[in-house]
Parts: sequence; structure tokens; C-alpha cells
Amino acid sequence: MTTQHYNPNGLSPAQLWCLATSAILTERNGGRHDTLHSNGNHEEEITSLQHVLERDWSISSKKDLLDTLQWLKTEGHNVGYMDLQHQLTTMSETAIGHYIHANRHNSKLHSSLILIKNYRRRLRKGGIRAWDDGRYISLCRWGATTGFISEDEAWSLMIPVGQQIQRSFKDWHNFGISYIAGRQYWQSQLSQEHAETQMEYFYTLFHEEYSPWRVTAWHTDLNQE
Amino acid sequence: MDCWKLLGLTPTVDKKLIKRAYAKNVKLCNPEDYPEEFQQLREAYEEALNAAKKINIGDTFQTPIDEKNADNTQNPATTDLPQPEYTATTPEALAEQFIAKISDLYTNINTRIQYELWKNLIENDIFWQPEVKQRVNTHLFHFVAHHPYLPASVWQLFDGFFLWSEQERELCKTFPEDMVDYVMGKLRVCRWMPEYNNISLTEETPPEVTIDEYLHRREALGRAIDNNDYSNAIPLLQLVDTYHIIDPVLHRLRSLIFLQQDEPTYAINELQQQAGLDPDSIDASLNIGDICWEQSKYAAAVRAYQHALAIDPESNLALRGLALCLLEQGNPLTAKDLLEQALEQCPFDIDVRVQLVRANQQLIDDTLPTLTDNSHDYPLRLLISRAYYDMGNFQRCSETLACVVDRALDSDGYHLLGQSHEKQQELDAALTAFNHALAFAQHEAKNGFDILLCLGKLHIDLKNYDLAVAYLTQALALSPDNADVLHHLAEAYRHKTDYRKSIELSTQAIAITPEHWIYYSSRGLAYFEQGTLESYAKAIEDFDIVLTHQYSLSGAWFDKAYCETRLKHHEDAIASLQKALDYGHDQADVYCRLIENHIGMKDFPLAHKALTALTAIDPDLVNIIYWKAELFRAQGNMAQASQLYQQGASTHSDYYLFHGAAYFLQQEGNLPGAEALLNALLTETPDNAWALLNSCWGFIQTKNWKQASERVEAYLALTPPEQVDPYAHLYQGRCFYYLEEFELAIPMLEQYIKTTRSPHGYSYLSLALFESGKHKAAAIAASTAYELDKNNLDFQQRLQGLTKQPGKKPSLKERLTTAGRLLDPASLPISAKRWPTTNTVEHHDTSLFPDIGCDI
Repeated sequence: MTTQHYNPNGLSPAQLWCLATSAILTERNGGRHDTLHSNGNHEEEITSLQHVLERDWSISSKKDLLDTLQWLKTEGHNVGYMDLQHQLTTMSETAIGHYIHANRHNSKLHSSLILIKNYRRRLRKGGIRAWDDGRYISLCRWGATTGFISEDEAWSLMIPVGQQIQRSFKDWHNFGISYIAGRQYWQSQLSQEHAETQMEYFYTLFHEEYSPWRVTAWHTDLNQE
Repeated sequence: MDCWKLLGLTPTVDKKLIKRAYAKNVKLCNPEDYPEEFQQLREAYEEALNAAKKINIGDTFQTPIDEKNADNTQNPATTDLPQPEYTATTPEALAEQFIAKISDLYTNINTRIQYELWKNLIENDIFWQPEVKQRVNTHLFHFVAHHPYLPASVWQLFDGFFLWSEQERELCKTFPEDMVDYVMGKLRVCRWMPEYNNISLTEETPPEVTIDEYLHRREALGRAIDNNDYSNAIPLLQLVDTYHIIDPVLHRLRSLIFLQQDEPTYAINELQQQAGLDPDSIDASLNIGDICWEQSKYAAAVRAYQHALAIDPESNLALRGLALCLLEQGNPLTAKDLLEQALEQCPFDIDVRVQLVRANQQLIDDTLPTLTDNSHDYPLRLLISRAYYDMGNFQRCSETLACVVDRALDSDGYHLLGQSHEKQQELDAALTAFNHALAFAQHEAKNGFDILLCLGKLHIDLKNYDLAVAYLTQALALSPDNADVLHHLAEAYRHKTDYRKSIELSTQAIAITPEHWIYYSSRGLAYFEQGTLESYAKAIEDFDIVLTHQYSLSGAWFDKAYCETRLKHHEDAIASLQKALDYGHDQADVYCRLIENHIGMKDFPLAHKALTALTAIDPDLVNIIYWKAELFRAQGNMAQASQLYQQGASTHSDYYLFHGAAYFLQQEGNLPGAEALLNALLTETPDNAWALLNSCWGFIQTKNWKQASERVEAYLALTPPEQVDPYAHLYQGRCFYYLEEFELAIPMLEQYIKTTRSPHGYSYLSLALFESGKHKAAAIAASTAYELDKNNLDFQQRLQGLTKQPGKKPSLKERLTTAGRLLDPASLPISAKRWPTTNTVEHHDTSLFPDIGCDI
């Protein structure tokens, strides 16, 4: 992307900032970071997005979409993650090791505990909130593309969540770690290969010249909307 | 000084071991306080890594020492404690005495935490008397239900001795259920509950406060913190503070509350006290390190993390923490090493990966100006190139090395260059570089392990499977337990179609690293390609594991569906195909399989629906004709099926249409027409077993024994013995017989009989034996044929002839009576079992839909 084509719709800094919170998923799907409709809004893209929403989120109506957004906002995967993390709060490292070992036959829980043991010091307060919030923003974008909600509705849903994200994390780095930890938690993915793939998105977002995480400053004023 | 000695190792090729030893030593040596020692250690580390490359097969390999386990093997119970004395004589009195001693141990917190005292008490021979043991069991269970604050080791000791966990139901007959539940709960969680070490009462402790009361409050406090319930936690803390009890766990709990209240300084103070009371615990050091790091107090953080590493040299949290501090202090090289080790402990840690990129960037920023000034500094150039490579900037890596290629590069340089080319998909350049690297490694007397692995992998990509096997086998000899080598070797063998070997190697890789889904994928594909019902079942198990890790892998769903189809698990197959479709697998392939499974379930409307969907994708797909015909055939409309096959075969040069058309022509008696199609099939695919056997049958019908024999011979040559159709032996036996090759006919017919016990087989065998002059054996075979089917007049006549005129040789014409020809089993049309239905021609289907390999 060049400067000439950047932000073709003239989105405000706050709007671009909100879109940037969904950057990992957008990057993964090969979409645009600087337009609301990340993969365009032609018939083919809309059909494809409708399929994805139905397949992965069971969303086939505006109500489904709003219910899911509400779930992400108030619960998401972070609630389960934080419950587990709290269970480990007072345990020593050795005790956590015993606890994990005792749960070795429950592979999902076992993976989650290993993951939390590793990340809990860095994600002590926010947990994997970024994973839920980032997906919230993606869903708003897709909801607008598929026509379940209008563009204005999408922005009005995204901006407050963006403000909340900005208060909860220190910078894009911290937000990104929380997001990817969330993906790893959700998929019970502790493999090197998966981490390497995630790292590619991360690396792109930190090093590409027009990456939203480079173009958009973390402390952008979001209250001007 | 010898690098191995400095690192505290004996020579090893295991880089992990070297890195671990380095990390262990780094913790003792602050670069700011001891710059020379730090440098010396670094040099020893690099020297050891280099030396590792030169250890060859046959050298003594060091078995990695598992320090944690080594520590565990030290038996703390070496002290001989005097056995407690028991004066009582009756079982009940003995049990009461025992409980009194238990109570004494429990009352004093210092004796309570000494496992050896409990062990000594309970392992007294006196308790092996059943009556005593039973009573003690009852008393002790009651005791612990009311005195539960025991170390985990003591709980486990009791459980091991009295087997409480296994007798929950029995215990409920003696004790209240809630009491049993409580004790079982304690047994379950004791290993991760806070410890009771180093607790002491002080002079200020109120006399009415007991240890158990304190521990009860402490437990409640811990629960409140775990539940994030600070409104309860704070009053509880205030209460236990009034007890004036010294306890490292209490300091830890206090530090958590201070952290929650954003009071890091107070938190550190508590943690320091915790560390003072419990110097072997890593927690306090890690927590201090983390807090200091957040406050940018790097020197203090370094000390804390070093202390943590002194307790556990493999702690990834301490390694990462120390690395981040060193990065801040401008030491990216050591930081990089530590981060790489942290990553070995936790390969999924994305934060460590990000920090590693940062370390590499810093390394480049620091050293690149030096390189510009001194371009002949090869080690520095290699260092920078490696940093570029690790950051994923492969082009810069190649460029940095390229300017000294043919001038200064050694095996390491060429190896890195090859890896860099490979990442850029410049496979030929990569191959050249790796070959150079291997040649240099030999010249430098290195074992070249990493290069052999790279060469093996690259040759798989280049489809040079024999070479891949050769290189990877050499690598495996150097590191027999390397799961990565095993996996790639398995892949090479899989491509060579040696599935048995491939499965064996993948299984070894899985045993070493069971969490790598790619190993299951590799093995699953090998099972899949083996193509037997048993192997399809095993493939499904492996694909299931793959899909738990990679749910959206459409290829795995499709392959799984294929196996399920072959096993006739049609419902499962349809569900898997739906997933494959959902996740973007080739739609035409999926619809073909859906039609097949719906046919398998005799659900013709849904099969039609899938056929319509297939047609919608591309109405000109040849597969559509095939599946339409199959659908007709499955519904019993043979005329329509035949017509479609004939039309299809006349307009499309398609393997399956030829198959179907040939079949129907044979069925309809048009043997020349069928033979033409079978010949066409065999021209295209000479190894087509079905066509060979059917063609043989056609020739037999026209009594063209020689050509029939040639076809069946070709069939037998290419078909694995366990998959040979028994009829093939019958056909060949019959051909040999008519060609008057009786000695050759006999073993073929014997083989047929062995598999089928068919009376026709015995009957034919009797003829061949008779012609060979083995009249007695011929009579026995004829008798067996008759015994197996007494209603068969021909068998009866043949037996009578043989027994009445054993020495007379009848003419061939006489021997083959009309009845004999009519009952010739080979004159029967080939049964439907060799019809190329989708259920029986697994391999054919594989070639029809070649995109069954997945994107794994």
C-alpha cells in the first residue's frame, strides 16, 4: 500500500485506531486495515462473509450479531480465562506445576493451565481481553459489510469499545500479546508452529511501513468522535 | 580453561544442554560486576557450541542430566530414626497409643511438617497386623478430618498406606458422607495448597490462638484472594496480622494484596521477607524481578532473576526476565541466548518471540556500523546475518553473506546462506549452499548434523526422496531421539510409498513429542495411503488429533471423510465432508464424495441433490457422467447406467468411464467391445489390476488361454499377496491346464483351494494331478470335491472315472465332459465383487480425485 491509496475513505484517526484493534485478524484474512469493509463489499465478499459469520459465529441476523457482540463485551473467552488465572493467584510456581500435572488427562484444561502459568504475570490484570475486544471490532466491521448493521451503527458500537481498549492496555505490543494469548487459549494451541504463524502477523504489524500499528499511535485521542 | 569444565559439562552434541549450562552460569555472573568472567563464560559457551559440531558418531555421548530428578533421587530418609515404642498389647489400645503419638506430632508445627517422623511412625511393623491396621485406619481418618493442616507429603503417605482414595464408598459406611467428602477433597488438592514450612509463633502471639486456627484463617484469606474478593481478604489479613505469626506464605499473600492496591514498594518488602524465610522458593525472586522490571529498576531485577535462576536454571520466566533486563542494559547478545532458551521451555510464548526480534534488531543496530568499517570481520558478519535471519529478513541475511561468498564463508556461513535461500524459495541456490556447507563441515571435521537435516528436508521439497532418506538417515544416526529428524525421515519414506517404515518413524517422533500435531498428520497420511480398512481406521484416529489442533484444516476433514467412506461410516463421512466444504475444500471433490456416501446410505434424493450441486459447479465435469451412471446402477437401472457409461466412454477418454463401460459390455456378452476398452485402460494404466483380471476373464471366455495366462500373470506380479483375488489363481490354474502345463497348474489350484475350499477347485485339481500322473492324489482331490458338493453329478462322474480306471489316461476331450464345462466355475461371469463400485475400488478412487492430499 502506498500513501496515495492509504485511507481512501478519509476515516478519522479515532476510526482508524478502532480498526487497528482488529489488525491481527485482518492481517490473517488478507484484508485492508484502513477501510471499514476490510475485504471489500462486493457481492462475492458479502456472500463469503455471510458464510463465515454463519459457520463460525452462528450469526444470520442482526439480532444474532448484537447478541454476540454483547457476549463478547460482557463475557467472551476472557471470563473463563480469568477464572482459571484467579485459581492460580495464590499458588506457588511449584504448586501450579502440581496442579497442572493433576489435570494432565483433561487436555483442554491442561493446555489452558500451561498457557496461563506462562502468561499470568504479564496478563495479570486484563487477561485475554484484547482477544474478545479485537474480535468485537472485526464483527462490527463484518456486520456492516453484510448489512446486518449500518456503517453508522458499526462506528457507534466500535468507538466506545476502542476507548475501553485504550484504557486497558499500555501499547500495541501489550494489546497484541493479550490478543494472541487469547487465540492460543481458545485453540488450546501450544505449538511452536502456531506461535511462528502468529508471530508473522505480529512482525508485519510492527515492521511494515503502513501497518496500522505503526501509522496509528496508541495514545491517539479517541474522544473527538 | 577447558570450555566444558567452565560450563560444568562433559562434551556433548546436545545444544540444549550447553545452553542450559550457560544460563545456569550466567546467573552467577553479573556482566556489570564481573565483565571479564562474563566474557570468559561467553567464549566458553561459543567454543562448546562449536565443539559440539565436531563430535562424531562413536564418541561418547553424554546423557543429559536431569538435575531436577537428580535432586529428587537424594533420599532424605537416610537418617535412622528410632522406632516409636508401643507398650499396649490389644489392637484397640495400640491404635489409641498410635493416635496419641500422631496427636503429639501434629501439635508442634515443627514436627508436623517433618515427613520422616510421620513415615517412621506409620511404617512400624505393628500396623501390619490387620486388626491393628483397621483400627488405626478408623482413628486416623477421624483425626485428619479434624486436623487437616498437614503437608501434602503426609496426606499422600496416609493415602498410600490406607488407600483412602480407592475406598471412598467403604469409608462412607463408617463415617458421615460430608466428612469423607472433606477428606477426599483435601487429598485431591493437598499438592497445590500453600505450604506449612517455616511457620513460627512469636512472643506476641495471643495464647488463645492455635496454629490450626491461624491456618484456617490463612486458607480463607487465600480463597478470598483467588476469588478476587478483596473486601473479604483485607479484613481477614487484618485479623491474622493480630496473631503475630511468622509465615512466608503470609508474606506472599500480603504482597498480592499490596500489588492489587498498586503498592509495589510494600509488595517488594513482603516478598523480600518471604525470600528470607524461604530461600529455596523461586516465587519471591520472580515476583521481585517482575515488580522491579515494571519500575525500570533493572539492576535490582537482574539480581532477583539471577537468584531465581540459581533455584531453577530452566525457569523460562526468569530467563525471559533476565534477558529483558540485559536488553535494557545494552547486552543484546546474551539476551538473545537467554530468550532462545526461554523459547525452548515455552515455544508458544509470543512475547518472548517479540523480544527476540527486539534483541536481534538491537544486535544489528549495535554491530552494523562496526561491520561497515571492518568488512573482513567474518564472525561479526555471520552474527549480523544470523540476526537478520532470526528476524525473518532473509533477503538481508543473504545479501550480508553474499559479498564474502567464495572468499570467507565456512560451513556455518554456507549453512545459513542455504537456509536463507530456502526461505526465499530459491531452492537450487539453497541446495548449492547446503552442499558447500556439508563439504566444508567435513573439511572442518564437524559432524554436520544441522546441514544433513536441512539437506534431507530440502530434498523432500525437491522430490528427491532417495537422497532425502540418505541425508536424514545420517542425521538420525547422530541424534537418534530427534523428533524433527524422525518426522522428516517418515515423510521421505511416505513419499517413497514405504508406508510401514514411515508409520514406524512417525510413531517414534510422536512418542518423543506427542504435542506436535504435524507428526499425527504425517502418520495419518501414511495410514491413509496404505489403503486398507485397518489403516483407514488408524488414519481417522490421527486425523482426529490433527483436527483438535487445526479445526479449520479442510484437507484433514476431507481425508478423514475419505477413510470413513471406505469404512462405510457414511454418516460420519457426510458430517466430515460438510466440514471440509465449510472450510473451503474443493467443492467438486466434496460433492463427489457426498454422492458416494448418500448412495452408500441408499439415500437417493440426497445423492441427487449433491449431483445437482456438482453439476452447478461445472456441467462439463466428466465426473458427473460417472456419478449419474452410478446412481442409476445403485437404483437397479442397469440399462440407463450402461448407456451412460457407453456414451461417456465414447466421448471421454476417462479411466472410470472405461471401467464402467467395459463392465457392462462384459455383462451384456459383448466381449470384443469390452476387450477393446480394457486394452485402452491397460495402455493407459498397465498396472490396472481390475482391468487385467477382467481382461483375463474375457480371454478365458473366448478360450484364448495364452493371452488369458499373460494377463493373470501380470496381475499376480503387481498385486500384493494378501490382496490377490483368489479367482486369479483359479484362472491361472485353468489356463495352465489347457496349455497342458499341468505341473504349473497344480500349485495355482492348490492356492485357490487354500483360500476358498471350493469344490470346483478340487475338481480342477484332480484333473491336473491326474494329468501329472499323480493318480492317487487326483482321486483324493476328486473325492473331496464330491464330498463338498454331493449334488454335483459332474464331480460324481469324475470321481467314479478316476477310481474305476486309475491307470487309464482318458483323452482331454473325454475328461472335460459337457457337464464339466457347464460347471466350470471360471465360466461364471465375474461377480459383482469385482465391479468397480465406489465401495471396493479404493485405490482407483484415489487416482480419480487426486486432490485428496490435504494442505497440511
